[in-house]
Amino acid sequence: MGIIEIFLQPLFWMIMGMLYALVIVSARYWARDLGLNMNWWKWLLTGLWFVMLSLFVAGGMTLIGENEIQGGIYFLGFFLVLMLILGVGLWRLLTFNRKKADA
Amino acid sequence: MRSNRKRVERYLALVALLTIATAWWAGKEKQADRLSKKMEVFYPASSYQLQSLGENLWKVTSKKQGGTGFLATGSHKGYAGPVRMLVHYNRDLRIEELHVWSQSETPSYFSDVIKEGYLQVFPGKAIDEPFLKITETDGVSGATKTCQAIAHATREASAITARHTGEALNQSASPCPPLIGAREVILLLLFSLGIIIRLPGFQYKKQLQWIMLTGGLLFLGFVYASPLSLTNVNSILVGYWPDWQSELYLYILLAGILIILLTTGRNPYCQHFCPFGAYQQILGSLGKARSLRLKRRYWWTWLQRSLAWLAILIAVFTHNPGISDYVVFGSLFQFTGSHRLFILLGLVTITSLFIKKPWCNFLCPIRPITDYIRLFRLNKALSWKRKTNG
Repeated sequence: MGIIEIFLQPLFWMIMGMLYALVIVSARYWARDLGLNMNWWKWLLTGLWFVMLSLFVAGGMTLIGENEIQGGIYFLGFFLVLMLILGVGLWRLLTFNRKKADA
Repeated sequence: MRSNRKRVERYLALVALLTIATAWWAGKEKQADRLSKKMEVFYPASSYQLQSLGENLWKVTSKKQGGTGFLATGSHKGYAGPVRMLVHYNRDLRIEELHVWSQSETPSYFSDVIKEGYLQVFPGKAIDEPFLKITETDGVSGATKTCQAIAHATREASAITARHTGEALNQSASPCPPLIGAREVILLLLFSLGIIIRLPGFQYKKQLQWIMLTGGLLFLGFVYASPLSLTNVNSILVGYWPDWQSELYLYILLAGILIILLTTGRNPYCQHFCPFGAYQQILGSLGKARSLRLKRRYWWTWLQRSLAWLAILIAVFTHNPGISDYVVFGSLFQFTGSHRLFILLGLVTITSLFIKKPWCNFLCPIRPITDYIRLFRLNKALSWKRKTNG
């Protein structure tokens, strides 16, 4: 392991951790700004979707990192398209009977 | 303006027909040449001496090793067209090696069969081996018809050799598949529903439409993976008519579309139960997809038609129905296809969430074909006759 990796690897995970913390902390403010009437099961579904998205990106990237490039690309391609479809479905569910923020 | 366009369309339709017919004829001339060249590649005159013993049978002598044997060819219908095998038997009438002499299967499916080593199962087998059993145990999933065609063609080559050598061949025929199975019944049911939905005064159109879409997606798509593809149309244009006993489904599908299209001008398959159309429509409903209003819609239609014409032209010229098929159905319903098709499927899937049926409206080759058939609609011909008489 080179000197750059010794510093870069923890730095990468620190930035990643900060970004995740930022997403989680600011989620309720985004929901409010978007005029979403969130309740416990909507938060649960949103959380599940986000965790699944993170896991699939991590899984695909791990495959690519382990030199299974074709497998990684197929994995990412399949699951990202699936997550996009589920994301659109989730968005429809969250915006059902939505009150506009500026209304 | 409109009548001018119609006239141009008719001229172009004629040009398309003539070019396809010319390509078919030119391709046929080339094919015989290709086969003899391929024979020279497998058994070059510098290493082998071939002595013809009749149609599709040769005595083969290796100039280097001095061994003699037989070389026979057999052919059987695969998914898109005939698969011709070149089988080399040694002195003990066991398979020494076998080659695919010609085939016209969908490239990605055929390469799967080769990659998975299906051909390696045959060498060493005796001439009277029931080859179809090999397909049952070592066949490649998703390419069953190709594997069966290879086994049957090899069996035919064995039969030719056995007739010459006087060897008794186990004549047990492969079981004939049932004429009408669940797949055919479901298709007939969907066609009947397609007629019912058009009846004037029928109240439950929306509900029936969703039943047909779901039925098409589930059964014709995921269960039987039998959507109408360009390969099916190309096979017929090239002259590789499918076996009616095992492919009755395809005949019902084509006849149903043709009859309803020529009489009513409607295409129930594309409108109501095409599995890929249903897939796009369901995604479109999820994402509240909108129709794309393009200023130059007419030219997009011509781009779609040109793509289909080019694909058919390539297929009939090479006499290979599957070579130019760009439909993405296989990638979705069977998880098989080239990387390009998977990328295209991903793009179509994402686009379907926001634009109504992008594949059907901008890329599908079946739509230009049905547009073409519409030119020959019966009532159009009749109204023309009425006009001329009146």
